[in-house]
Amino acid sequence: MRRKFLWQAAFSVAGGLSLSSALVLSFGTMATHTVWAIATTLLAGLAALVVIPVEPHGFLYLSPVVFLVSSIAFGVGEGVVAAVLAPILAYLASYRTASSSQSVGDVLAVGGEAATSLVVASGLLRILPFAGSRWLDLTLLSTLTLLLSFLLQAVRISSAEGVRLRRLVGPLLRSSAPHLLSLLVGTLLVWAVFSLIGPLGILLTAVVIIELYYPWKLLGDQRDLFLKSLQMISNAVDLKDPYTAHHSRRVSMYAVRMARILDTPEEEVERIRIGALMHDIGKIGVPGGIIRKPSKLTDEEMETMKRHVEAGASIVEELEILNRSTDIVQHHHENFDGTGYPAGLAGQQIPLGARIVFVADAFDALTTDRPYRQGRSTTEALGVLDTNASTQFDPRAVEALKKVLRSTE
Amino acid sequence: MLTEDCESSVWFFFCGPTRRMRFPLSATLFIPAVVGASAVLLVASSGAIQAGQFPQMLLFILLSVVASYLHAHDPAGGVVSPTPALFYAAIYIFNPITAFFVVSMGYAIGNTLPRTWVTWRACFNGAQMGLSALLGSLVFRSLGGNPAALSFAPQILPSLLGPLTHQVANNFFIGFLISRMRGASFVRTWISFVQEFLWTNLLSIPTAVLIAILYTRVHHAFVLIFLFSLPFQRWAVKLYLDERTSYTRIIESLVRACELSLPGTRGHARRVADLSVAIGRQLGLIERDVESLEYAALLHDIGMIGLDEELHSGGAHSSPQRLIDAHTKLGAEIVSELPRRELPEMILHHHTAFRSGRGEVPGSAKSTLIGARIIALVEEVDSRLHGLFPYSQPEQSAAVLKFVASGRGSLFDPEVVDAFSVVYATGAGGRPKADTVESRPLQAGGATDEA
Repeated sequence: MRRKFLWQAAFSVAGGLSLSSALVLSFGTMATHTVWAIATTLLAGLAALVVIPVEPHGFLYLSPVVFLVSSIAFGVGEGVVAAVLAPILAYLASYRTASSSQSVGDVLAVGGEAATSLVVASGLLRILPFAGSRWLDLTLLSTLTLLLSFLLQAVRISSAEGVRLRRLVGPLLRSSAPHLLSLLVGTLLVWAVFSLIGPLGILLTAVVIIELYYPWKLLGDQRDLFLKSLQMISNAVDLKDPYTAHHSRRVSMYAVRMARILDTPEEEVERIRIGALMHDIGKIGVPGGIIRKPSKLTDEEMETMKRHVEAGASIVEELEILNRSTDIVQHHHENFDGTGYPAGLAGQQIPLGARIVFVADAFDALTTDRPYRQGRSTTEALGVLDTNASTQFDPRAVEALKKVLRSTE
Repeated sequence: MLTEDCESSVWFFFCGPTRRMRFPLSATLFIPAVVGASAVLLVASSGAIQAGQFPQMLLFILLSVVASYLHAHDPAGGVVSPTPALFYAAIYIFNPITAFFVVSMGYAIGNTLPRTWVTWRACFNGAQMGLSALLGSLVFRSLGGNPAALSFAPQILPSLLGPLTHQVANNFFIGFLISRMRGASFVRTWISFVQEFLWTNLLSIPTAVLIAILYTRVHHAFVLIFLFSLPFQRWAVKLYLDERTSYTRIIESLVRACELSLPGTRGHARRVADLSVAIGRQLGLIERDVESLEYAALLHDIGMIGLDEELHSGGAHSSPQRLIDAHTKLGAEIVSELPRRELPEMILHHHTAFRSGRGEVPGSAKSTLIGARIIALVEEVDSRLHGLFPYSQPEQSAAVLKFVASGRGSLFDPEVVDAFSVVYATGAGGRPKADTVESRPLQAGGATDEA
């Protein structure tokens, strides 16, 4: 959390500084074409509304298409103004619908990152010994800016999510590359039309590109809705026992961080995220009386309770996307020494995701308050996990949880 | 779900098998009238067609054929289709009669490409689209529009109003026909179509202006840049639609799983959702609101999940009223995690939307309120029909209908009750007309911005 905050603070300041200096430096030129300056800034804001989700994390925005052309056509100062203000304008415009999950800090940091990349890229362009045409300038400037902002984003995600940079850059580049390329082509296209028919060309072409890219925004919204819906369903199941509200969400959060500490590939991490969210879905079929029962369960009740893992696995199995995580749901009660249920797997036979979720599940259950007892402290709970490591829990998973807790404190 | 379902808004009209469609007299007269009027108009004024621009006209017709074939239904409202941009460009570039000719030919031929094409449909679509283009072009010219000067400020008004006229006229033709066939109010259908397609069509105007400018100022071949955008857009739309379909399937299955823990409620959520959606369409809600209504109806009883014990005992521990309050509050709280504000509101008020102070829920949009009232009525009907909580015995449908009629204006919103009566009479609840309208792949429709 602290790293994320520091990052946001740093880039908000960078954005603010570049915005104010750009305003001061290019105020004279801007005054000569006030209407176009305002129009391009608004246009950049409109473009920033189109958010393209990239795998495994992060977003690309369409606004570079506008501010890159603007910085070649009217000067870098105006480009910087548009770059900083675009995400803010988009945030204000979508504030009412609240479909974006961004915080103000995110928004300011995104603008700051874009402005920083643009300033650094145009600085590099001055140093490099190319005194070429404006076409060449634009191509180089766009390439450099896009690459720099890509790198900044990779570093930001890696520090905020705790993913190692080398694990992240490959997949991120693979899913961003087509979009980065089409942003570059789009920028050149806007420039071509600008040279043909003047500033109106920027306006028209940018709107055309925004329209073309609009389905990607819909796709992003849909993915957001999907993950939120899974959270909602898991929470609904947790609510069968009011004391376990948001249990699955916390388990998912712990499990994802543990998986990253164990250096799992990002695809596997996504599997674990969904598996952990859905791990108790089978409890839908268990009567609430058994789930809420404060005293020890009878053997018969215990049997009913144990059935939830297979019930859950069969619910998840039928659904594409979710069925990648079936094994996690099914085996999240397997003990490390082979005495668990339902299959009695031991050691490495148990899927890694299931071992991780088991530990996270136990930790959250131990630390939660119950009507009949107080939740244990983190240290006590870790003590319990340690005692049962290698009989019940995978010791590596317990170690990973300790690291997670240490880094979040 | 909604996307493939031909019930969905205007698709209903175009992808259903025609032989079992019911045509009221007014619709039967309307179709030949439109086709005839445009044929007469075309022949009478054929002298005004810019015959000198034959190659360009041919190019436009060919592009329209290709573009009419390539389109996808955008579930957020309207259609993701390249045709409006092309037709708007034709409105700018050609004189009114030529635009009429180009658009109607291109669109009619484009309509014959799918394997399921029907003669009257292709003729009618070509005719109405051509007439709309004619009107749009007339408005554009009469306001002083000039394609050679499109990049200058005085052209902004004509270049906006021309395409808008085209769209509104187009919505009129389709809206009239569909309202006749559904027995719904014409004005309301028309307005909901205009709302639904306004945004996507507004976004097409810049593309059209750009095409027209490049066409008149640089070279005619610039129309072809339009072709490059097609595959790209299609790809993204396809990804989106796939994702959406699997999403809806997953949510539905999970809701079904939740239902298993409640006694005797199997299928209740799905039935309520189907009937609510049918009523919502009957009332002319736009597609996005219908979608929210479907989700809210599917999830309306999700708050029961923590109250299963009390439900098992038939509410013996507490009064039914307390249970109803508890489950709507809990349900709204659960659903509030979704990035859609209207869902929790609909669920919170789904038992009280009309009763509490005439439904003056502060801060709620009108469509949200209507949604809550629809769910209130449908849930009551379904619970009575199937003997669900708080009823212990199923009731006869005649008794239920009588109860609904007696509650019109006191328990239920009169408009919703009226729409319910129409839907119930035609489809007897469940999935109305599900047996007459098959789902077809989207491409089979062969219609675009209006259809």
